[in-house]
Amino acid sequence: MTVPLSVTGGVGGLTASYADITTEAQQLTALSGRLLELAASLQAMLADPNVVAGAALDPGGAARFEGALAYALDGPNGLTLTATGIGAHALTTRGTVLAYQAKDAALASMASSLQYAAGEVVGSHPLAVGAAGAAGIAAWLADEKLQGRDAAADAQQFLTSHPWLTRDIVNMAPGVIDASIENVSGPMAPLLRKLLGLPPFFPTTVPEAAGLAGLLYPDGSPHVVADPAYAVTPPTGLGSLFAELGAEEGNSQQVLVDKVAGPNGQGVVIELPGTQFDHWNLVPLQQYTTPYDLSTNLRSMSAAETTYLDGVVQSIESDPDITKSTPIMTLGHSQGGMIATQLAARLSADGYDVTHVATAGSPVATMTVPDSVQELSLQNTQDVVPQLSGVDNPDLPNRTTVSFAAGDGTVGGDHSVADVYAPVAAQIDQDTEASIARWKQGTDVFFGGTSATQTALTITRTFPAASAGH
Amino acid sequence: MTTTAPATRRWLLAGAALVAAAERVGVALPAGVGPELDDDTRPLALALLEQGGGCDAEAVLAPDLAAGLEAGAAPVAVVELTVAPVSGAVSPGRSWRAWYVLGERTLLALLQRDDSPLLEVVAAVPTALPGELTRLVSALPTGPGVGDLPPTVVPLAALSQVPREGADLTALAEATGTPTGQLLVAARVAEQAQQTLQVLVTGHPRAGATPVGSLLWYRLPRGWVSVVAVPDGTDRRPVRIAPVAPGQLPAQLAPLLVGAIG
Repeated sequence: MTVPLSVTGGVGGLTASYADITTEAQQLTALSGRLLELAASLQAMLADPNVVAGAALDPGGAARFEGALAYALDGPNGLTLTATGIGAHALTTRGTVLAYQAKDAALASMASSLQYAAGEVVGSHPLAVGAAGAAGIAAWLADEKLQGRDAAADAQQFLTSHPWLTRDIVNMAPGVIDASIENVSGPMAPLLRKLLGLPPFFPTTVPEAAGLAGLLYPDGSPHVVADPAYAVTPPTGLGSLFAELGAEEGNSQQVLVDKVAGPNGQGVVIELPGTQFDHWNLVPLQQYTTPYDLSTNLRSMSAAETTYLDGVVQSIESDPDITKSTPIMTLGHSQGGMIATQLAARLSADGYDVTHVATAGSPVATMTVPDSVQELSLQNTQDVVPQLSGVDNPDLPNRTTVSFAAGDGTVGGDHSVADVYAPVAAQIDQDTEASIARWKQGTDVFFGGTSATQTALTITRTFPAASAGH
Repeated sequence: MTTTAPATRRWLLAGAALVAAAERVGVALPAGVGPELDDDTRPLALALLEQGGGCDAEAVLAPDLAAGLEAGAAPVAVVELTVAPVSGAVSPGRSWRAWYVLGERTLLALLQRDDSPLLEVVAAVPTALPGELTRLVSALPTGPGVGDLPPTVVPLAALSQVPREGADLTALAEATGTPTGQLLVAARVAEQAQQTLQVLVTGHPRAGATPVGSLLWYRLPRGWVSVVAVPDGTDRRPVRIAPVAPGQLPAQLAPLLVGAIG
């Protein structure tokens, strides 16, 4: 049996690609003896006849190589300071073949020592390591030319057999990458750049950026059609209401307005479905007439009033059966819960008596709830949606959050109103915990009715004639 | 009630290594992530994958990485975030590209900064998404404050047509029917913007990938401003420009993702 592991920091840090060098280098400090070997090898490269010969073929590259290597060796923190006294006669007096072998060994030595060098040098001079790595490549390139081989063709084979070198390259410091790849490694540049998959970071302009916003601009005005009211069984609690939303999960396009009557008076429950998958803006430039799409979501968390919200408000405020003294509960799942919260604020501001809000799986933490409204939020800790606010729901007297863990471990399953939230809502109906009990105060008018009618609102979006798509 | 701690694992991989890993799992990465591999580059990519810690000693793909990549098999939503400099900016800051692939059971986050040759690859449970977004947002420059730009509603055309310098606001005011005072705000954005932050949320319903919403922010010298659509039913397509703090990004993204998830 395995248990979940939580790993934080370490390599995960955003700057870890650079800290990584230092960390590994510190681990390698025990190999201090290799520094001397490295210094010797580098000194050998500087004097290597292959490099000298390569300079004739590629004076610029050789000059850069020599400059970079000299910096690595003799710069303020150069290896030479540490490697003083180490001669390189044996290496520099070898013949061409031996020199090649020696250079290859030097590269291997460099690879394993670069990290050490990083720890000693990179801290104040990142360029040194980059230059050292680049120097190795340049030396190899010089040898390729000396031997009449195609460096580009051999590059892949070389890197395959020396993957450590590539890794060191990708660990180079910022700014050194381009210099190394573009200026020093020459024929290998395209290959390296391809392997690293460096993405383009193109500058943009204010108008260009605004263009994207325009592509997904949510146009339109609400148009509400109310079906004739029909008698329904009065709701008995949160469980029955969320079960009703769950029965049409993913398919309902209608807002349900329940008018409940009973010994406790009359109340109105407004049930708000969530986003409907089938009504997304399938093509951004087109306009779809349903407001239950992502363009509505685009504005739900802002102060903007959505077409969806406007449509519901328009319907409620034009209903002669709903007065400003009629108790109102708004309730919704997912996006519907966000709208329910906004609707409560909007209707309260307009003077209506919104007393309760219930949300399920909705990110409402950053939304405002009037003090006069009691909000109950159901949040499955396995459901990513309610956590998208990025913060916990506020701990306020009028805001109660019920958290629990349930679901099948999938994004959709853990967010399901039918399978997760409705059963828990039914459980809450039986719960007597203090905050829950406080929320329940005054709900008799909604849950204790003896008769009820339900009106289904279909809200569509209309567009200005000038920009209407269809 | 208990909360299960998210299991989050991270790797630093070259783009080719990540592509090689995705190939092994048999999933596609978001467009623009990593290079296309061919027979010549694939062996190198695999070598990079092994060197980057994506494989064990027997060259077997790390199980956690494989699990994270599974998000790409049937993504629920993809959040693509781009922080880019504005052309001619004096203080362009760092650029970022990040992709958050939300699968049914896993979250795959891919982050790359312009000065890093490596992608940070994060595999986690879906509920880690808000935290991962916040982690990136915390790296963005904030400016000295949220800025002194007054919240203003302007037609979208004001932003898309105001030139960076030398704006003829009078003519634009007449063309868009917008008071000059409001256009001055748009002009200030155009003149002073240093960076843009754009987020595109793509949903993956049965019909396939569908762009479903976007966010747009500009960074001015004193801080970020967001551009949010506030439709009024007309074709003026008004947007509200208002100061915003980087920490507000996850909350602004939430409604888009709610819709993508359902």
